[in-house]
Amino acid sequence: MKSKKKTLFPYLLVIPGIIVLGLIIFFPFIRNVLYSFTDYQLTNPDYEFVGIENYIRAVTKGNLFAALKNSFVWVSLNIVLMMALGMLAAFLQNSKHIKGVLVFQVFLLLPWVIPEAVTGYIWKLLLNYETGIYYQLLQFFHIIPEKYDIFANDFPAMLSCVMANVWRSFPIIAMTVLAKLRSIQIDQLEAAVLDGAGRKDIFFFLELPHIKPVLLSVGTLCFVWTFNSFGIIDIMTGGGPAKATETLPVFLQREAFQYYDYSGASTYAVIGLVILVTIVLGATFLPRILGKWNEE
Amino acid sequence: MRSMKISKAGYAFRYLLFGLMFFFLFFPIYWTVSTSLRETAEIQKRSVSIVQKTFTLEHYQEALTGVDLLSSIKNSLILTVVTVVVTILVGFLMGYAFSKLHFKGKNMINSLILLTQFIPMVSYIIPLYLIMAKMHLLNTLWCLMITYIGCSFPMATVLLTNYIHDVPDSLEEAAKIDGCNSFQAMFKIIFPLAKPGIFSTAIFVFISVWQEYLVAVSFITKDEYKTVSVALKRFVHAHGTDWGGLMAGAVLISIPVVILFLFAKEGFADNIAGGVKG
Repeated sequence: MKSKKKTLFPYLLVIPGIIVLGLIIFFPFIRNVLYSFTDYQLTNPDYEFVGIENYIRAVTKGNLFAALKNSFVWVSLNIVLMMALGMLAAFLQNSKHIKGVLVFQVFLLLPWVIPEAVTGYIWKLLLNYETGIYYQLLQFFHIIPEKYDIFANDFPAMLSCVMANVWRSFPIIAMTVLAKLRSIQIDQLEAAVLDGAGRKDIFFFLELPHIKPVLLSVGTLCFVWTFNSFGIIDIMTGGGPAKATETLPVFLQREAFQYYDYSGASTYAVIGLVILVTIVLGATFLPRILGKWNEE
Repeated sequence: MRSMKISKAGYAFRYLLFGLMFFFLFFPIYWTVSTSLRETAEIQKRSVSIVQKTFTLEHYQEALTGVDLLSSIKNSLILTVVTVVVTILVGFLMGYAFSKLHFKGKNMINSLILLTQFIPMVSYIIPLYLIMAKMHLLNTLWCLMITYIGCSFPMATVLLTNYIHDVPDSLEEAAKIDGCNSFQAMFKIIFPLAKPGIFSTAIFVFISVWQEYLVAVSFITKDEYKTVSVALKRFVHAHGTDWGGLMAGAVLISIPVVILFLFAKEGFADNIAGGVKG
């Protein structure tokens, strides 16, 4: 009797969690996949299965590709800038030649803690037409012409959203890279210096290989976040001007909650997830496969 | 250690880069606070000065009374606290089972949790919305609460599993010899010992729920149930944005999370690092 009780105990502990996961994530997720094969809309609640019609429509209509193109620009700009700034911040903090990094370190994560919506509004204010201080700065350096509305132009609007998102996310990269940099053994560095290694050599042959695994995992994480990011774009541009910043999540949200095309939006969600998973798996396994291939 | 010599120009260059980074990171925060304390006439000027020339608290008054941010703060507070408590409780039970017990199917459930972290909100938000609509839960705090519990649960479980794993088994065994049953040992021994970890996980969940935007903006249309990050939209009018009020609101809704973050700084960094590994 006692032993039976003991074997049941672990299951009693995990059941609440499984119920939560099942009801709130897996059940809706499976329904989402099902909806993508129906013609479910607000105006058509008695939906029927229509096979892969939605997918054919998604591929032929072109809206999806516009959104995917925006997503591609959004994600690549974000990742490149985040990585560059994050690494720069990490290396600066790790440098023994700079004083005053402590304040920096304490508050480095602040942008990440501040609500996403707030970040969106802050950057919108900074770049606001004529009254924004960054707007005036850009005008002062003649980077933008007179009477130029940043948010009325496709690429500048996109870049503004990117800057806001980079500001919010690069501290994560800076922090994880810094932690890894600090774990390099001092004698390793000393040996390198004694062998006559310059700063460049140390970076390429010691530091970069050391931080590479962390760079890859934090990069993947940031990629997933950025790909699914919705708030900053919704607040700063609402997907505009003329859908120039409408990435896949923004597009999908509009289709579902403004046009009530549930089956269509579900289809885009499935396509988006497939793309996301493919890229993440590719980034995780491709280097390993290539590495093996090179060794042989 | 013999440190590398760098030239004066090298010094200057490093400090310049550091200065620029400092500016990039902190100026937006300074500007938010500063704008919230300026008079509207000064905010709307075409040549702004970095140091403010006027000082007023009227935007805060407007945000709290005129725009009624206070009721949204109340909504968010209820929502977030309930979510944190439920998530931590359910996550603790599961984390305990994962790190201290052996049972069939453990690995499968564990990998399911890890997998769930990769399912983005957008790929189940539509059915969730329709389910909530059918249950007449839209435009209540319930629909957000249920959703948030679900989506913060996997991450919380991963973090809690790690923290509980770090509590040595010997203490629990000693308690069991003294006559505690598993359930008592779990709450009387493990829970207090894992408290710092539980605390920082709770703050982590709090911060992510507090700022959630996508679900809040999609599920709630009635003003009285809006959460803080959606409520800021009230400062955006058709004829222009009340930037002073908006920034005062931004400061007000950021204060709780910033305070919590400063409380749990150390644990917080570990959490993110843990999230990266996981």
